[in-house]
Amino acid sequence: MNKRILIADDEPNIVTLLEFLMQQSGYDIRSASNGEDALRAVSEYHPHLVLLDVMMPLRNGYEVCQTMRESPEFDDVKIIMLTAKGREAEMAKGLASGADAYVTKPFATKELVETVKRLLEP
Amino acid sequence: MKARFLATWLACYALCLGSVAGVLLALHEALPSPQQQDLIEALSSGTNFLFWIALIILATTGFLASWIVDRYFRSVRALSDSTRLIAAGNPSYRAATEGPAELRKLAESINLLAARHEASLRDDAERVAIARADLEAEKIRLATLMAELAESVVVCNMDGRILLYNERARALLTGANGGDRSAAAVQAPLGLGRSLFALIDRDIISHALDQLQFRRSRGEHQPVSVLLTTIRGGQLLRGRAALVTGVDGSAPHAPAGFVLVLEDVGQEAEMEDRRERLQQRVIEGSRSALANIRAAAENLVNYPELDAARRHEFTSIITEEAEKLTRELDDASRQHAGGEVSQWSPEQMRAVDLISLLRRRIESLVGVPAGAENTDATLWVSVDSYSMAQVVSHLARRLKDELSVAELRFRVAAAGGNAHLDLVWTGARIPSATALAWENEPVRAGADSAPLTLRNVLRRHRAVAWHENDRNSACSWFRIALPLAAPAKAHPAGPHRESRPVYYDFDLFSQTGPGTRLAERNLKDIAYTVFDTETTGLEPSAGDEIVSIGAVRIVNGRLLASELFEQLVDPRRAVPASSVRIHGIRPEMLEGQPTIATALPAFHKFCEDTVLVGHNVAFDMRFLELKQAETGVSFSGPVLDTMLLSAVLHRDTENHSLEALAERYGVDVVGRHTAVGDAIVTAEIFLKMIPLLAERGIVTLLQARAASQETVHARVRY
Repeated sequence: MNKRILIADDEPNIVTLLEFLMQQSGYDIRSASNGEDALRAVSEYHPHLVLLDVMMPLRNGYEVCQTMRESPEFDDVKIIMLTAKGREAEMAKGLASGADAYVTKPFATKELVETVKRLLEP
Repeated sequence: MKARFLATWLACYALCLGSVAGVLLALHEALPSPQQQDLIEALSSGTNFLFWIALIILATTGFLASWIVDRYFRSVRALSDSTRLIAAGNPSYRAATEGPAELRKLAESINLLAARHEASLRDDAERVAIARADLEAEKIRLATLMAELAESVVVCNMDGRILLYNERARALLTGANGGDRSAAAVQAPLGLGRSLFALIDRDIISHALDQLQFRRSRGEHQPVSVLLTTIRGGQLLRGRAALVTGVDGSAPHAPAGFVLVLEDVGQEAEMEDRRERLQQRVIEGSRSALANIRAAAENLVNYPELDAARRHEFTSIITEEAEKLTRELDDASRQHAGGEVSQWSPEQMRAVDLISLLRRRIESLVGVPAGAENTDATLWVSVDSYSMAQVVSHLARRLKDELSVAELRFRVAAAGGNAHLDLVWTGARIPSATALAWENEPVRAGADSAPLTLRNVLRRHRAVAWHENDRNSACSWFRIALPLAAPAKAHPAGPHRESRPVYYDFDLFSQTGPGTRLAERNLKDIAYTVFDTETTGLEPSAGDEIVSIGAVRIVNGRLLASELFEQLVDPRRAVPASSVRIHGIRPEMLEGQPTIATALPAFHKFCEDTVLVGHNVAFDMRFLELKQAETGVSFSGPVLDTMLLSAVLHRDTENHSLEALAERYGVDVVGRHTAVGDAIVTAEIFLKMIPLLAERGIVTLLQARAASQETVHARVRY
């Protein structure tokens, strides 16, 4: 059975591209376009990994990440923050919020796929 | 007077009766015994005659007593009053040469002495005037310099009383453009002896002064503290404050006051904020677009076997994102061209100093002990310490109230380009929703200032905050990532620490602060508002209204003629011709003037922190009292009346009118029966009364009020 990945980003182009990439690597995909949707999708879809944008409507990525980490149910769900926010302090905040990896846009597709694989198949 | 008259009468009466009795007794003793018997019989049969004798003696002595009291006692006292007046108030006053010859001689001698005294005073005054002229020249030079400064300068004593300001400071702090008096009057005014705290938040100034004293106690030479404050609905000011020390040489290292140099940085700050947002938007926008372009391009290269639809999808993404990126950059460069390089920046300080300040604040404001660990003394941050202390104290208070945290610790460490400032406690982490709520809570919502929230303060500092916990040590912390700053340049030590400019003679520096209870303060040191009103008639309870209010201020024993309050008031009723004849204010002059509902609150602001003085002030106070409900302002502070004080000083004079007082004290009357004219005359008379009252042991406000109460006139009611 394929592992499940949730893509949370409010921008359709990046969602299209990430969906393609993850499908090519053999994962099942679901997407959400805001923070509330993302949290709902997490509890319904039970993904193994979330690709999480920071700047999203309703609830931002930091909040989604923290809320997930506060619930033991989602303790083993891997989170990759994928964001245009590149300042040192923002990266530190992302990791402190409970993300497993923080990837700054623009990124190399190969490296992103490798990071996903590393997190899902230890 | 009555008692004295009675005593004299009784003495004369007793003396006369005694003499008659003595003569009779001597006669009785001198006569041989048969005649003695006759004398007794004669006297016993003539009781009626004796009674008449006694009555005649009574009348004669009564007349005598009244003559003596009138001629001697009253004249002597009048002479004594005159002498005091000459000595302490009006040296050109002369005692009246009337009454018995001896007293006329005494009066002439006193007048001679008065003439000498006046001449010698004049000589002294001339010498003082010459010396003062030099001093004045220096002061004018200073004033000119101040007026031409591009900065707004305010000098205050440690209680925040203003003792020097320039025109730019007035314009900046009160927003007055000089033209519209009535509109400007409602804003708290800037004036000598007034409190700066009516215009700038007391907390912010106290914070800066504490900082300065702390830094000086550590040996820093002439420290300057930077403060940021919002005034009047959000205008952002940056001030640089420095202490002024040891003016009199009495306590050379104790601060006597402070200098505050202010500038409006609202525009700069706003521009900085805009630029910051623009920069973030460009960077984040470019990153997103590039991410899409790169991913699409890599997909096209890495998966050559893609079908046509997919290929088309990815190439469209590349075109679309490239166009978006171009638009974004064009837009940004257009907006950026308008901006200038900003000088706006808060103060640079050592992170360890910030921590020690935060610890002191939290311990005093929140009452939670705050320690420090792992502090790196080489780190400098750029920080507005006041607002940072406010929001961090707020976090500490929340932790204490909601999580019962009893002890806090600070630590700081460098992490890349940031200083990580941690507020650490032992215990569980807080739910993210709670932390988010705390971040957006207003810490302080002053009337004038924008609400201060952690989020606002962080944005202003370009800082990021979050919270973490460590399960092993059961510790949690708030982390604030503050951008690191370059160390502040140390001020070179000035070579002339001891030398002072010669124009330093600001007496207000040494004035007793409001710490002393007002009632016990010396009359000389109190700030007064001397005022007068003109009205439509004499009966406020029968519908008479105020048509004009005039006032001047006395600060530190000086009449400040430049700080007048003068306001015509639309009485919203007819102005009777009889009253127009007195004050000369015709009904057409009152058209378009503010009503009492606007004028009285403005006057109330003008009077802030002063004692009210007026002539026959009960009359004016009655008008003000009747307007309390309508205007919402009450004048409940202490009040002094020059009419009553005159009755205290000159008990034997019947006439206590303003004209009579002006003549007695040698005060020129200008503009009688205009509110402001009468206020000035009253103020000058009042200033002359202060030393005369002191001679009678009336030194404090409490004593002056008690003495006024005692006089008969105090019972007059309108």
